Amino acid sequence: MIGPCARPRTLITARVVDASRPAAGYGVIRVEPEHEVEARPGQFAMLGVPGGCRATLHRPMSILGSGATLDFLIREVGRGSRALAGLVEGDDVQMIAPLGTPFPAPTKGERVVLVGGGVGASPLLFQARLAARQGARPTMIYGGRAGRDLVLADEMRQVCDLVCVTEDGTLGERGLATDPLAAALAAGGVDRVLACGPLPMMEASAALALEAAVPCLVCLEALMACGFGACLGCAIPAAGGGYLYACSDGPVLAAERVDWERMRAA
Amino acid sequence: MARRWDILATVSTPGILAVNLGPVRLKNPVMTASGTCGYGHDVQPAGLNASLGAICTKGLSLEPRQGNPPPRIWETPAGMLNAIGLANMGVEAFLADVLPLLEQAGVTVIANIFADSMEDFGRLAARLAKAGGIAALELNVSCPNVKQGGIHFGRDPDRAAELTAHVSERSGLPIIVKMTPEAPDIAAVARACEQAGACALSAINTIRGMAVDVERARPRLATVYGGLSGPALKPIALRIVHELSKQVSIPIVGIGGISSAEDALEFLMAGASAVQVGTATFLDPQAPFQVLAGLETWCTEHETTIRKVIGSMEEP
Ligand SMILES: Cc1cc2nc3c(=O)[nH]c(=O)nc-3n(C[C@H](O)[C@H](O)[C@H](O)COP(=O)(O)OP(=O)(O)OC[C@H]3O[C@@H](n4cnc5c(N)ncnc54)[C@H](O)[C@@H]3O)c2cc1C
Ligand SMILES: Cc1cc2nc3c(=O)[nH]c(=O)nc-3n(C[C@H](O)[C@H](O)[C@H](O)COP(=O)(O)O)c2cc1C
Ligand code: FES
Repeated sequence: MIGPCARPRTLITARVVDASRPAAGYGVIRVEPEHEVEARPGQFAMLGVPGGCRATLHRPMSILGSGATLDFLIREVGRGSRALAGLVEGDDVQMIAPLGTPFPAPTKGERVVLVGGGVGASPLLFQARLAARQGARPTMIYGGRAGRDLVLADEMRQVCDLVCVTEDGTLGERGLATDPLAAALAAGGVDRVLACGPLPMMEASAALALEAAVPCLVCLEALMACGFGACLGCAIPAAGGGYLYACSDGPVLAAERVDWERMRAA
Repeated sequence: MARRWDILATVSTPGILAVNLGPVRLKNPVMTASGTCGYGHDVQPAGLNASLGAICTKGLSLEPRQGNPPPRIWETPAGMLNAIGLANMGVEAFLADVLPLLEQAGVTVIANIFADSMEDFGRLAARLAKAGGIAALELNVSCPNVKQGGIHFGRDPDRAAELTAHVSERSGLPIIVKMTPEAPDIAAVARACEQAGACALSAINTIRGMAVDVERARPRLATVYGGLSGPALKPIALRIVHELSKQVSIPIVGIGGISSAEDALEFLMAGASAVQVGTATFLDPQAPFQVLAGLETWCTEHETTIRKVIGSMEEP
């Protein structure tokens, strides 16, 4: 449940100042909001769908960066994400941001393993950049179907010890992200696991971390109508019964708070 | 840069905007719709909501409710389906944790309530009345009556009337009955509620619909059916408000797909005395305030008042 709202919520306009296509089916856009948006890793924006009618719901997208410009990595899965990935420099996009509960700020000396898949790498890259500013260099396990899905690999390499894993072996080792995670946990010394990616990957990472008694945080997705606690659409089955809300309790949640079995059924 | 909420500073001439819902005086005709703006303190600051005619709370029940399993929502052409399942904190938490904040901020509160039986509706209404600080109750009569084998209070004129009278007697509060468009004879339900002492009617609640995920050959919603809301609903809602305004003499609150002052004016001209903004808030959390500001501008420019606009559409 969310508490009193402190500041008025508004829809703001942002100007696309850069747009690129890192790989087929993906778009990266950099936007300049009408005023600065102080965001933290794991937080997201509700982005207005370009060309949508006035009933088209906004789409949640993880924020990469903070301040005068924000970046978004968008994978095309349907109408809304296609329109957003297709934005070009000079376009305007509407947004509500920042939203959601972020990852805890990185602390000095903490050994963190990041596990990311697909566009889930975007909040993790943001987190790794903050850690780098503290002189830390987290391990990032980056998984995907093929090398072309690891679109942030180059950026990741600059701030992380990067381990790439692909199902078809086109980049890094062949296998699943959980293989190197299991090895890292077995080697010991891991203080925390942060995971963001496809549901099976997060569930498996959470299970491995739990087994090794290492705290694990996951960054979850849910269908969202509002993004700010008004519709109660983004229910996440909670361990012990009931629901958490992805937009306000999450999207970042301690893995043990989630009922993975009911989550899978959804 | 001018922040969008500065528009509120322009709403300074309440006389042109004030409306009455029977005994309930509203400083302007714009409210939030139940289930789309939380409890009045969480989606926007309570202080901001105080500028609206009223806020209509998320549907409250005697006990807290967890709601339905996900997926609970799906976007549809010009609207959305929801099957939230009336998740809410329960009346006691609302009275203890929220209502004092709303009162302190000067928010006019309409409590939207639902229960499975008439007795529980009565108990809930009495509890809210005893607490004080509630301007009116809005009865959500579209939920199944478990004791009566799943019929809806809102579909049957006799049951709706009986409920209205009971809740009114138990609470002594002004009662707004929220009409379901699924009633076989909505005009009969409306007349029955008027006779039973409702101070106003609100129309409409969502219409049940569905969507299918063809890749997985599964319904998009865990409950299969969900309520359709948003602009897709507006023409139907307008028609019902217009029809009901010919059938009853109590005020009608128009609801359904309102996202601009022009939408609100359509409802007012068709016979509504006030409006509620629902799904539009998901797209722009300032939507109710934009509608309000737009209405004031319109009245000023047309040298008129909301009271004069109500029912002013010329019939052909
Ligand atoms: C907090 C959060 C952060 C996100 N961050 C990113 C990000 O950084 N980059 C990115 O590309 N995507 C991100 N997503 C997912 C993104 O919001 C969806 O892919 C997008 O809304 C789909 O819209 P669409 O119109 O393209 O798809 P639709 O045409 O609506 O649907 C196409 C398919 O996508 C699925 N889908 C729709 N909405 C979602 C959703 N919210 N989550 C998962 N699947 C969905 C549908 O079930 C359907 O099968 C995030 C989601 C959340 C909740
Ligand atoms: C997510 C959601 C939750 C809702 N919850 C309630 C509720 O608890 N009680 C109620 O009477 N109506 C509820 N409604 C219906 C709205 O109050 C309103 O009648 C309907 O959505 C039509 O208006 P709109 O098109 O402006 O949204 C809900 C609607 C939505 C979209
Ligand atoms: S998306 Fe609306 S409550 Fe979370």
